[in-house]
Amino acid sequence: MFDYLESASARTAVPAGHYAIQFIRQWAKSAARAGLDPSLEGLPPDQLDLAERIVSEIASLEHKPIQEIPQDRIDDYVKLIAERILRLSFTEHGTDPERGREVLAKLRLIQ
Amino acid sequence: MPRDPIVLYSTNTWLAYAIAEQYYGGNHYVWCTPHFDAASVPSINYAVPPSSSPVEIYRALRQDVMSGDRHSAKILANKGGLSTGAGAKLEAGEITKEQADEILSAIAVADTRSFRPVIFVIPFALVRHRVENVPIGQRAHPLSAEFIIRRLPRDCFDIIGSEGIENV
Repeated sequence: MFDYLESASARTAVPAGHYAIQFIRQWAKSAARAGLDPSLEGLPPDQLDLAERIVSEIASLEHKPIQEIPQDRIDDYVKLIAERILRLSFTEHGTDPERGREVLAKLRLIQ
Repeated sequence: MPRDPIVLYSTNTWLAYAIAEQYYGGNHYVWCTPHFDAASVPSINYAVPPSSSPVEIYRALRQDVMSGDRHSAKILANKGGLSTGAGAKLEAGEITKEQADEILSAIAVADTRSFRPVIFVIPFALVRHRVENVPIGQRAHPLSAEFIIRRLPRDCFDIIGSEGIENV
């Protein structure tokens, strides 16, 4: 699933994935509740295309609109998308575990 | 004519708070609402589904953190949001590549407790000129009062729960 995210740049895929997560977690249901047609908008075209692809794939797999998918299934998709975009981000930024632990230790001093 | 709210509430994670303090000049991006708890407001005045209220978001996140749920959808979604935020700040030239790398390194190794919930209490009078209405299609309920503050300075809110979650 969502294999096309691997071939996209992190600059495009990460915000698209994050937007798709928010859409499936809340916005699709909110728009439907308001009597609006749930639609994605407000992203640059390349990110929007990718976000729409993610949402369409989920709706297609579930054979129903996003707002009708049960919450536990939505949570499964949230995890899958988040794991994909995090992997892309971590690769893009070449994360360093030791540096990460140092940063966290510094952050813990903040009041 | 509706009156201005007295305060706004927002539930966030400790890591999001700490990153904004350290790397974003103490400016926080928050979604907030004047109603902390659906149970404390007559339903005629409160249109947010209980699961979207700050207190319920707090409780749900706290439950995942206290149970050490490493595969929590809420925590993974928060990690994704923090990663997206760092990318956006880098793109906007507000942080350096080195700082973005540091933030991502911290997110990569953060334990579940780093995602413990904290509550921002925001006096409305201090942020009146900073609040934006959430678009109807993105609100928890079309009639609910929900706001976005893109740059909330630290001196405009109090924080509850930053030291621990066991007693809150």
